[in-house]
This record gives sequence, C-alpha cells and structure tokens, in this order.
Amino acid sequence: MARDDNLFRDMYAEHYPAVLGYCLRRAHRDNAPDLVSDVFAVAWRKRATLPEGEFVLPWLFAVASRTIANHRRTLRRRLKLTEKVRGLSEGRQPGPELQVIQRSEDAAVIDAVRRLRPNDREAILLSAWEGLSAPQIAARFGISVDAAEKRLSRAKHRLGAELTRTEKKTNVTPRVAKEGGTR
Amino acid sequence: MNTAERAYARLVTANPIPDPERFMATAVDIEAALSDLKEVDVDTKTINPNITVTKPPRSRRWQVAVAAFIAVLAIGGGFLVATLPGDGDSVGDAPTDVVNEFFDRWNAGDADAAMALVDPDFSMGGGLFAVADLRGLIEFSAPFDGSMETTCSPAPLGEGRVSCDWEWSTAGTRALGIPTSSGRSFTVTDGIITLIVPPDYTAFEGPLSAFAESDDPAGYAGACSPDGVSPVSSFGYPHNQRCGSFLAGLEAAFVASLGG
Repeated sequence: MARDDNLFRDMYAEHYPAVLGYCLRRAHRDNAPDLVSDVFAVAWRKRATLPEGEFVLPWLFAVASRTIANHRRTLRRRLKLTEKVRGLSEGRQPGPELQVIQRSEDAAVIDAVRRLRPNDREAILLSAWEGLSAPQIAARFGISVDAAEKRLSRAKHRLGAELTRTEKKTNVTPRVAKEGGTR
Repeated sequence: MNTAERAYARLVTANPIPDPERFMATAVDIEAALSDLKEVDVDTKTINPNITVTKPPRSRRWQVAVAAFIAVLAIGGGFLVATLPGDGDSVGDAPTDVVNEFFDRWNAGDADAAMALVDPDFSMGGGLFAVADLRGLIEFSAPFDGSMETTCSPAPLGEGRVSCDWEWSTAGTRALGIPTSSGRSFTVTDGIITLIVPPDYTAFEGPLSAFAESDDPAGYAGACSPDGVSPVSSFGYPHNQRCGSFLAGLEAAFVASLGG
C-alpha cells in the first residue's frame, strides 16, 4: 500500500494543475478547488487500480466530468424555484456549460463550440484545451483510437461549419468584438 | 489550412485557462499574508492539506486551523488580487471605487459608460452560469424594474483585493425570493476592470424565458431569437436590450403565474 501511496502523491503533484484547469473551464471558479478535491478523493480511494502512464489523465477527466455533473445536479436541487417551475424549466436548463473566462474576440468560436453535440464538444475540447492525444481521448470515452480520431475529425468539421455560419450571419469582426461589444 | 483546421486553431487560442497554475497563485498570496504563521511548512502548489501540510507543534495547531479556514474562505470566495488604479483616474483612487462606479453606470443603463471602465480584453469568470456578453447583459437587464445591488469592499487579505456581494434585484426576484446573491470578485488593474465573476441568474432567467416562450411564442421568437445574433447566452437566446425588454414586459405575469 505504501507504494500506492507514493504513486498517488506523484500523480497528484503531476496532474493537479491539469485537473484544476479542466474544472475551471467547465465550472464556476469558486467551486473548482472543491471539485478538484472531490476528483482526487475518488482517485485516492481507487489508487490501487488507477490506470498507468498517459492514461491517468483521461481517467481523471472522466471522474471530473461526472463530479461536475453531480455538482450541477446538486445545485439544481437547491434551487427551490426550479422545483416550483419544473414544468416551465424543462428544456431550459443552461446549455453547454463551458467556462467562459474569455476574451470577447473568442466569443464566436465559443459560441460555435456550444452548438456541437455533447460528445463532439467534449472530444474537441479535450484535444484543444486539455491537450489529450487521440489514444487518451479514446480512453476517456472507452472507444477505439480509430473511433476517437473520427470523432475528433467530425467535431472539427462541425466546428468549422458552425463558426462559418455564425460569422456569416453576424458579420462579427475582431475589432468590434474587442471593444467589448460582442455583437 | 482548411476551415475545420482554422476553427480548431481558433478554439485552441480561445482556451479560457491556458495556464491553470496561475490560479494557484491565490494560495501563495494567502500564505504570504499570513506571514505570522510562516513556520508552518505548507506546499503552496497544492490545496489538499492532508498531503502537503507538515503537522505543526500541538501548541500551533489552533493557529493553523484558523489559517486554513481563512484560506479556504478566501479561495472559495474567489478573492482576487487587484492593483491600485493609476493616478489621475477620474473614478477614484481605489479598485473598490472603480467597481462601485461601474455598477452605478450599469444601473443607469449606460452600457457605453460602464464598459469604459472595463478592459477591452477583460475576462469573465463563470462556468455553469456563464455570461457570454457583458455589454449585452447590461443592456438586457436595463428594462427590468430593478438594479444590480452590490456591496463592495477591499478583501481582507491584502491591499488591492476587491470582493462584492452582487445581487440582481428585480420585482420578480424579490417577489419570488429567488437567491441571486453571492460573493463575487473583481480584478482591477490600473483603474480598469480586467476580470469579473458574475453571480448566478439562471434560477430567474431560465423559468422567466421559458414562461415567455410559452406565453407568447411569436413575441419570443421575434425578440429573443438567436438567429443572426452572437453570442447567445447559456439559455440559447441573446443578452440584448430587445430580448430584455420583451422578458421584462412579461415579468409581472410570470410572477403572477407562480402565485408570487
């Protein structure tokens, strides 16, 4: 068990920033440290069976994804009004919950990625923001590397199409966006 | 480079947290502020005390507990480091004055004046309840019968930090008792706001917009359609004056429908 403890310490030190970044990009910054702690608490309990090498990080991201989802469910339960107007709120929960610490010139691409399917969105964000490779993304989703590559390729093409469509409609230019008016 | 690859490249550069380690600087700052407890061996690269804190002598444990409690509060509240504004700024000498003036302008409905106090490259914090467009939000909120109620003060752990209780108080939120208030943080650099973490409005906005869409689908489609407008809010409609006016006009009916 001492070996597992030492491995956990090393893993914690190596991956804490990446998991913090993942949570900061997807949850409110006030909650991110607590979410990261929950992720590593799960990892601690399962330290004897953690994946090895490059596959630890996708495993941690998968735990983080579930932790954030649970956190959101808890938040929703706390909102009495949501309960009161359950019928009204159907289909009106916040959309793709991306962290939006963003510069205004990035709004168009953030807007486009919000419109992707959830799995496509997660795959492309794991690649673009978390720096995961195709084998790591495959491990995250439990799919083959070939399937992960196809999913990533599809997500890129859809992102390109969404971005083109958005910018054609709005005629957004970086100069206008940088003035704080993102419309 | 084709369209897909260009879009991907833009997504890479739009990473909101390119360097997560900078967020851990907060812990370093807090430790510096608690210099009277310096003897405690804390690894500031981590937050989990079970792994990184060397157990101090028994007589100091109460001090460590107090320090840890304060640190957790500070990190959890998102206190941010801010620097004093530049000399000669007409708003005031302190970051708190800048933030207060920002909200005064917001509540006056003057988006241009409010945005003049915000860095063009400002960052907006907020994940689950993200706001995509600050100027749009200012214009969106103006038609409502209410205001942004804030109480701002320098945060306790060092000069230059600004922390605010920030609540969107409207006739609807008051009547329904919807909690939209929470501690929020600002970073002010050289007299200009560079980072804002807004509160959670979704408990109000979500149900109100759903009611509006159900009550007046044509009106909703005309005023709050995302078509041709970017960015959209997390609810799929734009934060702008037109949509805000439409929703504000239905606020009383929405409250009445809930018996509020």
